[in-house]
Amino acid sequence: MSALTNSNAAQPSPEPVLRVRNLSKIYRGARAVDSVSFDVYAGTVLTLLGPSGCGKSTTLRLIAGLEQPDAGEIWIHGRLVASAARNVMLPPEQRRVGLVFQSYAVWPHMTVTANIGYPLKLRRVDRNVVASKVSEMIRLVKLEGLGDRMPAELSGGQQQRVALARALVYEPELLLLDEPLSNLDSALRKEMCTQLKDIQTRLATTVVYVTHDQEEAMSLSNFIAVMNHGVVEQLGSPDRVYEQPATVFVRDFVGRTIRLRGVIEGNADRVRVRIGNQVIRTAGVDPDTFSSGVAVEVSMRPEDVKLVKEQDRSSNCIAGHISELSYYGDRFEFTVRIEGTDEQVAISADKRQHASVGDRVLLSIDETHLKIWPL
Amino acid sequence: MSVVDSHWTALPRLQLVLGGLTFGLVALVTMAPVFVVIFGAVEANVWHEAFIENPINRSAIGYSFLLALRAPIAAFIGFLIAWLLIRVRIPGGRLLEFAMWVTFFIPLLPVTLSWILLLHPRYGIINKALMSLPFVHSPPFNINSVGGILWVHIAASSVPVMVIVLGPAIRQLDVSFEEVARVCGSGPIAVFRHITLPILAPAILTGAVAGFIKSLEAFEVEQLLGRPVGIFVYSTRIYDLASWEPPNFKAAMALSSFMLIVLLAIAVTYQRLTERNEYATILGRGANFRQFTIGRPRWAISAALFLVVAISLFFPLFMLVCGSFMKLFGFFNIATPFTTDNWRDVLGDPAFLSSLINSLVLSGGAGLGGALIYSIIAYLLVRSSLPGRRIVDLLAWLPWCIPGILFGLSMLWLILASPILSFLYGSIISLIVIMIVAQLPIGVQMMKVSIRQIAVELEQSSRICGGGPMRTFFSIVLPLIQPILVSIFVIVFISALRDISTIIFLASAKSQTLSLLMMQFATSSNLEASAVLGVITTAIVVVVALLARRFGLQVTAQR
Repeated sequence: MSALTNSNAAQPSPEPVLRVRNLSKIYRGARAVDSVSFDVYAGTVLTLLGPSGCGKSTTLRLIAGLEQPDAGEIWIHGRLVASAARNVMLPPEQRRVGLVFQSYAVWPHMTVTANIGYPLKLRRVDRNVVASKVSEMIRLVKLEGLGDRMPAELSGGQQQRVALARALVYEPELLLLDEPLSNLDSALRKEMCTQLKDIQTRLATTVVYVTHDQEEAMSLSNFIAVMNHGVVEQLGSPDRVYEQPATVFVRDFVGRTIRLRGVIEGNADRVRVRIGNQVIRTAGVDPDTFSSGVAVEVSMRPEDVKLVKEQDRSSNCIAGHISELSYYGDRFEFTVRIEGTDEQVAISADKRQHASVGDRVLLSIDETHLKIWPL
Repeated sequence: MSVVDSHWTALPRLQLVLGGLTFGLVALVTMAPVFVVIFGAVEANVWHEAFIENPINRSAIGYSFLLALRAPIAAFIGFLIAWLLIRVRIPGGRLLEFAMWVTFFIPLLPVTLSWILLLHPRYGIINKALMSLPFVHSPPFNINSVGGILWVHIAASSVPVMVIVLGPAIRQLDVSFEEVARVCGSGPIAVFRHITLPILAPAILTGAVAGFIKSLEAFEVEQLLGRPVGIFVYSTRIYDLASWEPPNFKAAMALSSFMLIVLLAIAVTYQRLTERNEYATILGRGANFRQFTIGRPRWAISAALFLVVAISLFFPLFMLVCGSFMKLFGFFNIATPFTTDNWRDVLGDPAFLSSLINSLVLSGGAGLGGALIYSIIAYLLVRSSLPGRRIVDLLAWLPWCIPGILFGLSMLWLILASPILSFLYGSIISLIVIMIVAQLPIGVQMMKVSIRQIAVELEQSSRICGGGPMRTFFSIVLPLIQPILVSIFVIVFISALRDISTIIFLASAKSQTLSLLMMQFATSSNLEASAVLGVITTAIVVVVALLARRFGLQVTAQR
């Protein structure tokens, strides 16, 4: 798939920092990465999002130079760093990128200062400059006072920040982050996510971020490439990926989805869908795409569905009975069985709700956010 | 997704060349003895002459295998001792374990001397003591016999080695296997017989096979105890044939070719066994390890184990020191049996000082060079994508089953045969090289294990930060494997210090080592002087072992 970053991404600079074209990697006969293409522009964050085994980490490793591509090309700042056809394969140390591993990979035999200073030492930077740059980095990642510690004396979150500082200290042209937050507990993950975004904006770093966590992806990135089976299924801004999923996989992987099976009821101006013995309206669906009598799937986000009382009935409602109910403190989770069908819908509702299993309820559906998929 | 791919980067041409060179060198030095033997033995009638017409050669082979039977015996005793040491909480357990280590490291020759002092048919103290009893009329023990040789090996080396080799396997056994059996209703002895022993049987068997192979290369004990009474084994016979004037290389090679075939066959069997064994230990990787606490019997067990250590270590060492101060080795009943003359003579001998220096240069050189070379080879084997890795991996293991004496002999042959290498003749460098080659298998193996334990991301991070492969190796990999470097240095250092059979053909007067001087004294009936050198060598070994322990030597876990 060759969807490129869409036009509203266009930064003034015409040259992308990273250009990936038709990249492929084969492992034991299987295409781990299958003809992937995208561009990343200066100062933006592109997230490769997908389930484990989708090829996102392999893509990142190909960019870093840790794997050799079987097909395709990679340019960094207009410099060809890998090309299967032209037999170009720059080793990692010549690509001028930074990488933070999921496992942090902070060297256990060096202090925090030595870890962060190592890339500068390799570049034969003057010792005073190294010292000042390292302490600047230590301040940036909020590790003040821990410079002389060994990695074993640091918490996971602190090691994480050492790894980040080490990857940033030499001002690489491109920062690669491989699930950097997945080993942290959820509270810390949120905090680090905010800090990461803050640092990225302040330094205007160009980032390729790999994760399977869509919330991280949503909050951090300018663009998301959703990957599955080595292929980029959709590439776009977070809201576009969420609101306008291009494929069934993207729809189900990103965010929660309510799905109902139904049949198209022909209508000249608007497409209607019959679910059991009830009919719902749609908006914005081209009537020519579906002909009457075709079996389809209707999808919507849970937040676009509201539980309403009979007296608040609006025009686009569907009725059902509560079949399960769980209490989560801040909210209720209902499972509603749609009348006249076997379809079950899980939605959450206000904690002040007074309903019990067996009650008849109405689901009000926002017709503008409703999507129809052929079966 | 974390794809751990060992071929994580394409190698630039320079590294390809250097890596290829290293591999080629490994292949060359490990294959050399095989080639030499094949070329040497290829002549017609040599086998006929070596085996049909020469009964001594035939009996040497026979004795070699007869004496190698000590391996299974030692494996069984060693297993029992190791199990008690590791699994039962007994008083003095740690001291006992360290004593096993020291015993393992101490050179065999000095220990043999003290057993001569104890069990010699004419003047052995134990024999004399027993003969003072009214009903004993002839000396009951004779050190110069198959039994004597077996005894010295079992007490001084085979059993301690087995204790050390089998220790890790016992530690890895998941205790829950045993606990389940206990819960099902088995008593402790039934559990040991039905669960512990069968699960660890493959480990004991591999230990026994390894011991068997190693037994076939034993040299100095057989030379000292067997040769005077006509008991030859393979290595002493080779030494004999090759030190005739002129040397009978052809017969030596014919004998060697037979041994080589047998050894390789056993070695392949051993490889198969260890492969299966690895599977067994992975299954039991519970790290669920507990010691039994038992009541009274623990004192009895402790006493028994201290007796074992006393017999294999303390007593022989004490006798050795005694022997070094004796006017006439073994004769306690003369007017004034003790003197310091031996020490004065030996220490005043210029040959002593030069031998000491040679020994330290050899051991230090082989230890340092070995640690560095093994780590490079192991790194290339584990992490590179160089072609021929698997073959080199196999070849690096080859010296393990080739007797030291054969290594020495083939190296001598190469040096004599090729004009390029002739400058090496009799030099200390040739000794260092041969010791590095001889210890290659264990060094590379230990290194491989420890390099595999380093997360590959640690190296990749360095590469991405801008460090080339060389830089990454020296500033990331080497510091991380530093503890194992120390261990390997110590093992090679001590092996080189105590070695006799590997270097005996290569050393000249100017590269004479302490161990060779000790051997020379011992075979020329100057047992007193030999004992003095034995005490000195042992002291060096103990000091090195203690220092290494101080600096975190953790060999136990690695073997």
